[in-house]
Amino acid sequence: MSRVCKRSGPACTDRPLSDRAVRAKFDAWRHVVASCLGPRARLKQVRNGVGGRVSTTSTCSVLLAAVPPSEPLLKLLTACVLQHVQRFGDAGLFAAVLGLSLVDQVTRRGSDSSTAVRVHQRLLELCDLYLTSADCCAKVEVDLGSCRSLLALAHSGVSSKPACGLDPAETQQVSALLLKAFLQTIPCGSTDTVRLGETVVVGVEGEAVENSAVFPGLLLDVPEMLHSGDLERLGPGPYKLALFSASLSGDLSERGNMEIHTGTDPEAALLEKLLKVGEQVVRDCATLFLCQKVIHPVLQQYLRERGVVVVERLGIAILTIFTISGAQAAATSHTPVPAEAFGWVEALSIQLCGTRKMLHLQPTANPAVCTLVLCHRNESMLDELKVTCKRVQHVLQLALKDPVALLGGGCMETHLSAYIRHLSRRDAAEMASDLDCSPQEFLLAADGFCRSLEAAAQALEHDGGLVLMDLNYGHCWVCPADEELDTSTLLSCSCGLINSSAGMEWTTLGSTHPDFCPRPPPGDSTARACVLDSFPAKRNALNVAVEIASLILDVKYVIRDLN
Amino acid sequence: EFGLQIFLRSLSHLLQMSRVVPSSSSRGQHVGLQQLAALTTAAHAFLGPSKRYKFIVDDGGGDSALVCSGFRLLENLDLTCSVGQLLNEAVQAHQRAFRSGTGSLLFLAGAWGKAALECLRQGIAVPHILAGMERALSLEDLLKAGQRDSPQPRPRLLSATSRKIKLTHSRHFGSVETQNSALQQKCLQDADLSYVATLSAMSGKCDTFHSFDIDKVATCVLPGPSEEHSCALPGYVVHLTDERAFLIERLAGRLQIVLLNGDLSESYRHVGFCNPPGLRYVSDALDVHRVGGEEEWMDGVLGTLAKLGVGVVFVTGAACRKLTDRCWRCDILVVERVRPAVLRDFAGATGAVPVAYASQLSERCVGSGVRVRPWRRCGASPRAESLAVTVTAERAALVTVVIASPVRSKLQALEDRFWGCAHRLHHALEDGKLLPGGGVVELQCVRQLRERMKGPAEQTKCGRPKGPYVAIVLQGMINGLMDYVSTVMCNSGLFSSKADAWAAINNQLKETDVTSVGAGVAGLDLSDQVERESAAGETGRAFDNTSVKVEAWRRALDLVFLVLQTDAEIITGIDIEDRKWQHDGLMFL
Repeated sequence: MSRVCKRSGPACTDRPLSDRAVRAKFDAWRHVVASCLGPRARLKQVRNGVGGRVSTTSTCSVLLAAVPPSEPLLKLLTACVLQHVQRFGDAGLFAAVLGLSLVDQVTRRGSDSSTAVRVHQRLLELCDLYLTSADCCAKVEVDLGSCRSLLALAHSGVSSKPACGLDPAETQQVSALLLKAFLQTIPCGSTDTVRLGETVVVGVEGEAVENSAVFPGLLLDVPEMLHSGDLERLGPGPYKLALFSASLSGDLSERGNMEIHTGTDPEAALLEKLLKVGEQVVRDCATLFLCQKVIHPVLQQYLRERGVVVVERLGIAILTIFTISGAQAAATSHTPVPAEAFGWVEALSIQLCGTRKMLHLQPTANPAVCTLVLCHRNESMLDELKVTCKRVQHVLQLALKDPVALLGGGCMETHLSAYIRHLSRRDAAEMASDLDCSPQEFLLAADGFCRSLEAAAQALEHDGGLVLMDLNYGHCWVCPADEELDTSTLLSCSCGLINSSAGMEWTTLGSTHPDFCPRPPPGDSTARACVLDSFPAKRNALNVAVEIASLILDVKYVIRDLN
Repeated sequence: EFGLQIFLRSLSHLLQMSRVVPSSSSRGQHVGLQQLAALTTAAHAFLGPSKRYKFIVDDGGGDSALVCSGFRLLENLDLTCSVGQLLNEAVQAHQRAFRSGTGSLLFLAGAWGKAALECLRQGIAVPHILAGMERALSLEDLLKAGQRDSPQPRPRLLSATSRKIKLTHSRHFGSVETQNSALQQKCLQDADLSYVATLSAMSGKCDTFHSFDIDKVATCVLPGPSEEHSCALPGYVVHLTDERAFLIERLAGRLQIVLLNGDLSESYRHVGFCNPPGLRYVSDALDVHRVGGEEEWMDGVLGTLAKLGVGVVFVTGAACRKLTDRCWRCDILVVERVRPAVLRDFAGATGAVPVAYASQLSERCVGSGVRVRPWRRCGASPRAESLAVTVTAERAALVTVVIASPVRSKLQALEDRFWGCAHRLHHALEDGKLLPGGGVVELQCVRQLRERMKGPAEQTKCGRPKGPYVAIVLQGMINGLMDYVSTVMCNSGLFSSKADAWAAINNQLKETDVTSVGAGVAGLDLSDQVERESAAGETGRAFDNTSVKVEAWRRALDLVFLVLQTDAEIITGIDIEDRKWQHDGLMFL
């Protein structure tokens, strides 16, 4: 008997962006990501309808990964943003907000999308040119000789995530620790190829943030059966170390069906093999026996009785142990460990992080590995803090490669918008003819572009405060909602670079204002900027945003297979 | 969209936005904070010394639970909202760390959540609420600073030598004589028990004690006997409810012990061990006389135990029933479900080495010097004898607290209370400081906050006085604390209604001036206090733990901050056909 299964034809949506439901989803997404931006962001509680943990976050990588949208065009956008975050660590929300704003500006005006895309691309080139040029006023040099700007970079990164639940003093402490950890990952020796080391982040829940610390080397959980007396008995280091990546639990790891003759005991045979490995390791005078997976209790007991320190279930920490000890992991227990596979550690000790005990492995050489122990009272906050710290480490590493930072707090966006607005007005006719459109069309699209940049700056304010731009430098200023608007009370711009002075003029962001070319900041102030963003991350985010917006605007049909 | 919940809808994902627009004329509602306030009101009855029980009944299954503390309440509720889950997470984490103070945490999270809600209603921006509350709670720093500055003689439990011991700690601690008769009588109260436990745990070691090792205390719940029979006994108490109870006398003299981590059964394998599912055993001969695998294994284990001359086996997991019976026939007592801390203590005291499998046992693993003594028969029915026995080891510091109650469902609450007190004692000795309890600290904070409100207006960085929001935020915090104190007073029976309590507190605040009670908040030194009070013969004063209280306040505020800053709850992976999600306030992304 045969069965007929009716297949339904694909569903095709013509000009998806003109569909009201799709537009509503775009708006919703824009609200969600824009409200997550900045140090006063609104947090999102994300959970699965079936159950499981609730995560409270405003971090792009967590939010976008946890909430996949149903709309294909939005899927495209989140995928691009996530990929950007993976490469650059930072400015994911900025990319998403900017991309969605660009799409919103074009669809709201109902202007021709292909012209808008051409203008956007052209303006992106101008932005890129400006940002990379030497006389760009939206960036500052990062002085690698001092901690100041690196610390500002770290501080901006940590303070921009309110779900970490840190007070100002704790923010300062965590930023300093991050910088300290980062500096420890820079190798000292001057070889031809410099490779950055790594920072292992260990989270300890239930302890005060002030117990957080950085240790050189690696910290592992203390095995249950290890007592501090055992370490004292070891004598002075360095200690030889045997490392296994294979499971030593003594089970048959082969897959598939297997037949075993009654009377033979595979478990006993395997255990015998394991003990032979143990015997060999003891004979080779190893003091540490580490395994990525589980070690059979009998083998553990055998080793412990002979004074060997046993640590099992290392998991991902095994990669760090390669680096600090120089050991090669044995992938099988069937052959003896070759002499060259053993590694060394300089010292073993037990460290206290609050009330949690950790086993501290100190490397013999200087492999630039350190462990950052992060303590926090609350699990949700600790999760966010861990993600934030990884993000900041990434940003600091990028700064090492390219020691430039962009002004944060929305100043870079308003400045860039003012600059592009000025340029597009000045050269409207010329550029319009280049792009094969009328000057009016060009100006309209350019206005949309600048407004999108301003929207990204505006998104940093969530409490109804008034966002202003000065007409001298094009920086961003915020006047809180519950204080009356009085420009004389404005002290400094959001990034801290510009102080207010007599004769300065402001305009509400997004309103029409006389044309001006933003001036470079006064010469003495460049060291003052206290809110900094990663230059490479933000520059790439700008590119990603414009490219993905162009792609979305170019889509004419969405075809769905409904089967 | 002002003050309303904006809901967005899409195909597979759902997002519930509750946006608050405080600057607008129509005041915002914050769903999260409302949920927080609603969830925490259930725990009001758990504040103060006389706690009232609550019954939780599951309408569907008909199950019920009797709870008497905040964390048990949340544990037994089916919390579907995100805020509920966050609250539960925070409370359980606090409980794991301190074993007490969840009542304060819950209450203050709710009270300060309400304060934040009120601030929103009055149009104060979220960052200002955050800053105001953070500053208000810098009182907590004040508490800490008070501790650091004063000289710190080591706290100790006094007068073990004088045979009359008196530690006034927490509102539940009274005085206890160390004579046995007095112990028996006083054992009703869990607090006294933790007291006795400490004494027994420490006695004979030194005259003064600087710490109280929680790991050296175990509990044994005994359904049946009345609560007066609760007491603390040296060693580990095991409750035997089968025929073994008749024959306990056979285990006389000094015995050998072995300790097993994991289960004692043939099929048990250590964690991480898994054989492939496709494994089959084949045989080319038909051997009808072959003994089964389990029998063979049991023979092996019994042989080993007999060879080593073992009298007692402690197992952290479950033990195979057949083997337990056979062991008993050979005069070996197998005790299941022993806590790892107890195992560690016996390992230290007897020299036994814990192992995972019985096959690992050798002479080196065997500990010695263990005695098993019958302690008391409890509630024997003709068929099932029930006997509690103590297992003691020389040099072991372990003390077991027996918690008895004829009402079985009360046992868990009693056990929780005992552990709460034990941990309070532990933390008191660790901190070396106590805070006056019964709301004194809270009142002192109220006083200080009021002073701050009256004081010169604080200046912003640009020299203008801050907006009126500071006063509103502070007033909200004060109301939260006042509510706390009045609830405590009301619950403890001092006042019949919260309004009366509130009025009385207000009067008291007016009368006393700030300096006279200034000593209260700086923290009291434990040993001084004890000496002074024992000299004065004063009893019954209540004290609280410094670290527990500070931490509970901090966590409550953390929770309020997290919820306050949240504007949307996003639920993923739901089925849009499900009727559960079919109400109009929601939108799919």
